[in-house]
Amino acid sequence: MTIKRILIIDDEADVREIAKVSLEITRQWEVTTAASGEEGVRLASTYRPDAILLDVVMPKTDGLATLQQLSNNTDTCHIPVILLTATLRLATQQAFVAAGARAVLVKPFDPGLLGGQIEAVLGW
Amino acid sequence: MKLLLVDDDDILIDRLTSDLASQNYVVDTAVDGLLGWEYAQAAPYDLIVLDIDLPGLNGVSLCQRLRQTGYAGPILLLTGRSSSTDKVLGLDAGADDYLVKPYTLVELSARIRALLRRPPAMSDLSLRWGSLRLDPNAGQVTVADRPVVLSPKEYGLLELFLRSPDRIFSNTVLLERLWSADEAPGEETIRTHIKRLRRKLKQAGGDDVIENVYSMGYRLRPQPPAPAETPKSAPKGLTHGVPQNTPQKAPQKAPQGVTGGPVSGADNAPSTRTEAPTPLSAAPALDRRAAQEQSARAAAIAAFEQFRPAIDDRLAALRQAASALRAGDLPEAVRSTACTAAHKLAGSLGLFGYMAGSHLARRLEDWLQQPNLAQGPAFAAWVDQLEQLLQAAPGEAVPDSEPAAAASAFPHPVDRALGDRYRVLAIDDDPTILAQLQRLLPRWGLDVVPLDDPRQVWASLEASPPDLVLLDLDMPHLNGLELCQQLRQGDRWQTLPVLFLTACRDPATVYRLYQAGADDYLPKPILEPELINRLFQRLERSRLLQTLAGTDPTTGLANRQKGAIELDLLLHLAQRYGQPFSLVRVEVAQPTRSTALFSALAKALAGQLRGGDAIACWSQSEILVGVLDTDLATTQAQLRPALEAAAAAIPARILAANIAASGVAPGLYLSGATYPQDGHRLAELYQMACQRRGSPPPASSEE
Repeated sequence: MTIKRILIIDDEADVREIAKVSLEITRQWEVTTAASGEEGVRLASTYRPDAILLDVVMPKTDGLATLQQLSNNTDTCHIPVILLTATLRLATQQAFVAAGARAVLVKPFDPGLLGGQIEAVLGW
Repeated sequence: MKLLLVDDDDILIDRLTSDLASQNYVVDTAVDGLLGWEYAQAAPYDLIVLDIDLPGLNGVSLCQRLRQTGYAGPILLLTGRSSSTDKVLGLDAGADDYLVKPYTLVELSARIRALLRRPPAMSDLSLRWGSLRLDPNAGQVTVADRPVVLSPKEYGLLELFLRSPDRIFSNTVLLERLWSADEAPGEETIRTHIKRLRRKLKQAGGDDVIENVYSMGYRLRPQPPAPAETPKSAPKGLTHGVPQNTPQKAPQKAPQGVTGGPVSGADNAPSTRTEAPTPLSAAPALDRRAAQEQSARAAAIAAFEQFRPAIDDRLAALRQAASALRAGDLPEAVRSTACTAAHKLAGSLGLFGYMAGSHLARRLEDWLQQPNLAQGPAFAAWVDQLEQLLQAAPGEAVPDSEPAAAASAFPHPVDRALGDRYRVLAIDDDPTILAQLQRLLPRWGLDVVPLDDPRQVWASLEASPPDLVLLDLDMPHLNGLELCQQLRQGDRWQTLPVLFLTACRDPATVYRLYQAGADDYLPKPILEPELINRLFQRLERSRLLQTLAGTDPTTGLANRQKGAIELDLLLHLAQRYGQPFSLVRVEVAQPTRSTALFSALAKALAGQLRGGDAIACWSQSEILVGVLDTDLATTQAQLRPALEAAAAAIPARILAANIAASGVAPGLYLSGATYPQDGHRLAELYQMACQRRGSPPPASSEE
């Protein structure tokens, strides 16, 4: 099994940490985190992850704006982005997918199952 | 029925293929994911069976790809792993069902039959003949996926032949079916059209579809031996027609550790567990994965104290809002901070095992987003409860500690449009399960109708027709299997999704469930993510299929899409033959929406109509009726008894509930418009009917 590189962008330290620990334990993936959209965009072009987990609600640059910046950059536009949101409404989630997200995962996620969910939505 | 089986274990393939062939299924096989993908592109299959562990492209990815490219038929996943992750992943990827190895051939056949039992029109409305496909919804014809432009007559001819494959159509019948009386063409015209149709299909690369039957007429040729004559898309080694074993000589992966001896095709006893044995190496891998999942959860719970300060800050923001509310003034800044805090808590508490905390926080967030915040004490009580909850140790036991009474006392803050919500009928004699479902489902937009006595099921189905039924297996008076069988016997509930909740997972029980007509089963105890995933998977699929089939789920009438076509057709006929056409609009204005009244009305109206009339469910409160060659007054007089009967049949308790809720009884409005006086197009007639909608009660005086 290949080791995947994942970038998590979330302003909430707890979500960042649990997602990181979850992916490291269940999948042995390499995980880097960013606490803001700006930092995430910067890291994405240098770190070149296989996938990005992106929070929707963040101060300053929110998830959708970050997604926009990632897809406008030729270095990062090919990286699949999965949005993390605490919003359950299907219509909102569909809007995220329309904006270019590969999938939407709902918070709180099950730390035991997050890796498998990512694999499933990205076809890994 | 033609199936595609994608599995890299060629012993398994051999056995399955011969077993399925003995049941008259035509089976194509592929030994890796990419090959499976090519096969699925090259020919239409009624059902696809996929192994999860495939070389080339794994089963879940293949399944996803098939769904993304519009494959609408059933997909069954075979998996060597029994962790719920894999099942959820597979179902999320669009599979309809999964089966964990080792399984028996009997169980596999039963599941295939359960999946295929859906009416074919539900999964795919297109008519196919070899590489030719006619999509009646889009009015489009393709040969090997390339569109072919046909005139309306050519299209009509082709559709007629495809719909009745064995029938010979004489010139006279074709004239009657496709030409109107005033066109009065000769037989020569038919010959010309058929010639043109053949030429166009041939130019597009299709075979000759129609054959002349000497001195009798025309009919559809038998299906060509190879459905896809397109050399580019058909993979090498693709074989058709007869059931057969894998054509590939060298599977890319050696057959996985097969331990059982060869089993004869006659070995069908459900208890036989030697077929398709689990790979020997799989068990430790499974255990390792489950252990990793558990340790990730444990690590999250252990990290809770580390993040306690941040969580306390969020709680403080909620407390501040609560005291502001108590004082009667909630400044916008405080509300907005509290709302953000609730949102963050909703997204994070569950990570640490406090799922109930997440749910509570989500309610608080929804509540803070309401336009009029008036219930300070209730809000404060919920903040207190959240704090108490976080004092307890996190873990699996927590979600159930939420008191059901408190949950129902809290006003549901999310005002969703009715169309976004689904109704689930939950039948279980165990009140704790019902309470748990009532607590879990509403925030996902799923309204629960709880029923603890299965004998009441028919009354409940009529009073509030559900979108899905959750059924307990063992109940007093009437067990789940019998109930499911009874549902499947009538027309009305034949396609209603039925999911069993059961603690028994042995193959024999599962086999009986599928035999009884179940669509799926879910293990008890209930795990929220799996439950929600499986429910939505079924519900959304079923709603999509209903839209495709043109039926409104509540009333069973034609939906707006299909109804518009039928009404338009009548209007065209009226114009062609210079006859009047009456459009009648019936509206049910209900202070609180009761589908019982609406579906009773639909039933009563449909009962008053003749064969050639059209009736459609236009919206959640409107029904349109179109009648040819009859003036408006006569049509309305004809329908009025139905309205009166429906109004009289409303159970007193529903009326009382409506009146108690709003002080107003439900109103029925009857109005209409006529071609040619009121307009020439359906939209004009509808507009006019809406304008004429007068005051109630219309049952005795309209307009």
